[in-house]
Amino acid sequence: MKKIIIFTIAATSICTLSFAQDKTEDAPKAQSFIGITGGYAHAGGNFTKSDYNNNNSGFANPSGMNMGIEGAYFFHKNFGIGGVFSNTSFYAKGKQALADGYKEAFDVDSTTVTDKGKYSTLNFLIGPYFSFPMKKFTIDLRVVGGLVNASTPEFTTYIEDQTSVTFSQKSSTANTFGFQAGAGVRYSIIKHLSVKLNADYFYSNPDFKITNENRVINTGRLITEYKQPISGVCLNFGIAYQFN
Amino acid sequence: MKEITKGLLFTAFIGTLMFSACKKEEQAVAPPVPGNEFMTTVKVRLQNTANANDTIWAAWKDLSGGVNPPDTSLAVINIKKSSTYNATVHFYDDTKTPALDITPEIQARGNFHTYWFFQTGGIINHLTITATDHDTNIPPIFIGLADTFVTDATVCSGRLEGVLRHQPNSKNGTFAPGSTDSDVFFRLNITN
Repeated sequence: MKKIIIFTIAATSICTLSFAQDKTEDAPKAQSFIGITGGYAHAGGNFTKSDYNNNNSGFANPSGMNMGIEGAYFFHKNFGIGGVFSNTSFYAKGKQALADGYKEAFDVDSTTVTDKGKYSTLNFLIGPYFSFPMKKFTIDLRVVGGLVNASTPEFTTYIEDQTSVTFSQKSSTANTFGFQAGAGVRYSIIKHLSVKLNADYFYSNPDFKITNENRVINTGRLITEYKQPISGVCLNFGIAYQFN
Repeated sequence: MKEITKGLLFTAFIGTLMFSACKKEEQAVAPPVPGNEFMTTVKVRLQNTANANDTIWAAWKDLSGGVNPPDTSLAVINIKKSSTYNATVHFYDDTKTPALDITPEIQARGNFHTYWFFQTGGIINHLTITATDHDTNIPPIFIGLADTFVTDATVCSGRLEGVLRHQPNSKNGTFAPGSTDSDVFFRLNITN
């Protein structure tokens, strides 16, 4: 993560210095834009582990999706301020490991684990944009930060056929600070319309307080708090409307 | 202003298309049913607190899985009147060689197991059984694999039924929740 931040700052600084000396009159100004992006998100760390005996395991699928709205206003030919409103989500995975773990813990013949919902972060991020247009292409660098509203899926465990002992780890939500840093390329296909490709590193560390329903005895995996980073890389394709 | 309106309308249109493609899913996992261990033999050991030499082992055995009548030739408990005994309950799988002692496994899983004694016949009101072991639930609940047997001054006979209850996520100190793992009978005589 530090490497990415340092790289982004370094790249921004180098570009700033090089453009500061570029005084040619016909140097184009970066166009403000608003658009839609969507694509693949890949998370890592404990968040995506599926170890029943490790309470840091998040049982999230490392492959997820990201969709959002992105826009930036350029008050200088290279500098602007922009924002990202996006949703990143990951379905649960490893429920077999959960079911096997509970089966062993409760010494029963079978258990069934179901999940409802998914890990999801709603990101409201703003920050500086540095862009340099080159004919039909524009390269954007950005570091945006702000509010992340994260939520977890609900897991329900059925023990054999005894419906009265079914227990649930309820869905939880938490707000935290998060950030995203990355770069993108825009290509103008017609006067106001461009397609874009973004690559970003994302990070947040929400502290979930988790409610468990119908946990009668002190046996088996029980998570009452979960605080592990949700971080990774997302690759997005988008379409943007560019203002003159 | 017209430009901004166009941009926002464009964004809203594309966004609606993308988000309408999302759907929620629910998935279930049903692990395979494993083979159970065989609880073929239940033994009860009683030791007189006033005389360590007065130690009794009673055994109930069924190697047929309920097909044939159990071997109850050793399922007899003879204890003295006006005495206190420390009792422990033991479980074995005698289909294995050597016999597999299942008791530690049940003790380790005491948070969802309870052992119950029920008296019938003449011993009712003349034998008091109290569990002395407890699990790690909050608050702790008795397990019943260790007990004290206290007899009064009456000589009598009856039947003692021992039931192991398996109560996953439902153990609450009562007999009802869960299912029965083992149900055996002993003849019990309170003697002079």
